[in-house]
Amino acid sequence: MTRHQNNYLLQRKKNALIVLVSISAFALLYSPIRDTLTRTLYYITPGIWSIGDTTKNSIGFVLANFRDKDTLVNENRILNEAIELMRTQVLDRNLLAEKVIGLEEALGRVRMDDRVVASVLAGPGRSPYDTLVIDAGENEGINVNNYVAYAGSGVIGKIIETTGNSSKVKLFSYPGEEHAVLVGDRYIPAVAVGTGMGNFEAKVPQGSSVEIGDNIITAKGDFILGTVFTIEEKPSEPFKRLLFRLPFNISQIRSVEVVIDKNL
Amino acid sequence: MNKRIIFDIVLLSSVFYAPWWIVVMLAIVGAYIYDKYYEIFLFGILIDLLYGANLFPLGGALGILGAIVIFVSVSYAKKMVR
Repeated sequence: MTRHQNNYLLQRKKNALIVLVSISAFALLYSPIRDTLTRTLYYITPGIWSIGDTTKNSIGFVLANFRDKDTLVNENRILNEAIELMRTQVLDRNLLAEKVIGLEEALGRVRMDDRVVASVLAGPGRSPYDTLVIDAGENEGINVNNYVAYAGSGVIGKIIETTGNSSKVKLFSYPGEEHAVLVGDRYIPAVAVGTGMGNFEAKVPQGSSVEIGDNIITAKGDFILGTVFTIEEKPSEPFKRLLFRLPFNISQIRSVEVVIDKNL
Repeated sequence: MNKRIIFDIVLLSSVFYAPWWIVVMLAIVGAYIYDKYYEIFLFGILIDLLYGANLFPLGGALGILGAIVIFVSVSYAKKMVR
């Protein structure tokens, strides 16, 4: 084969590759095609994830019988998860109950949420997008923009895509995502910016009364978004920088609640 | 050829079950070991369809863009090394 023929073949391969990549990019960027592909894919994938979870649990169960130490470690992990869940529930119950009663009295009406419990198929650790995939979708009445909560009322994100039996949740902590929030007992208004994996940062004026452990709630919806764990302040700056995170480990959650009637 | 198919299955499984950074590392290894590792683009699309959405920055095409970057840079690196 001559050098000219080699170059010709190489050029053809390069062109084919460019065409392939261009078609792929177009399919991803053009919503109707992407939507169709996603729906098709999501007919199969929940089953694949379920098989993976079942296999993992089965292997864990078999190994636990042989390894006492690992059984204890596993049990400890489950108990820690349960404690974390209960801590979260206790944390927000009083605040929410108080606010709900106040609102109901003020408005003269009782507000009811319709919630759907869903299992998490794939968490943010697997996804490079800070998203969750859950096993409930349009068939359960879930729509785009529905809020997703954990442990009763700690809000974690919104539904961004839904198919028959599954949905994608964009976490509020998505890097750069901004949310209007109220900080602490005095409800200081601020803008929370997501930094990924359930972490946020916000700025409040210097001199604001904020302490570590204060709750951050969403300005709309009265959902707890997180608790302050670090306060950074410099006398030369007019703001305090608050770092806060969801009051539970986002990568360990196994189920969530989708709030059906809240399109805020 | 068989080894390549097995590697593809491992990479495909990692898209579903492993953290995204493990997928990236495996993709780099695959692109380095195998000649013309075009499968990487399919895995990129799969990641975007599974976890991304149009409303994300870059049109939710981080997977395919990552695949292009890995493919081109590893191909260049291979030329330099070999």
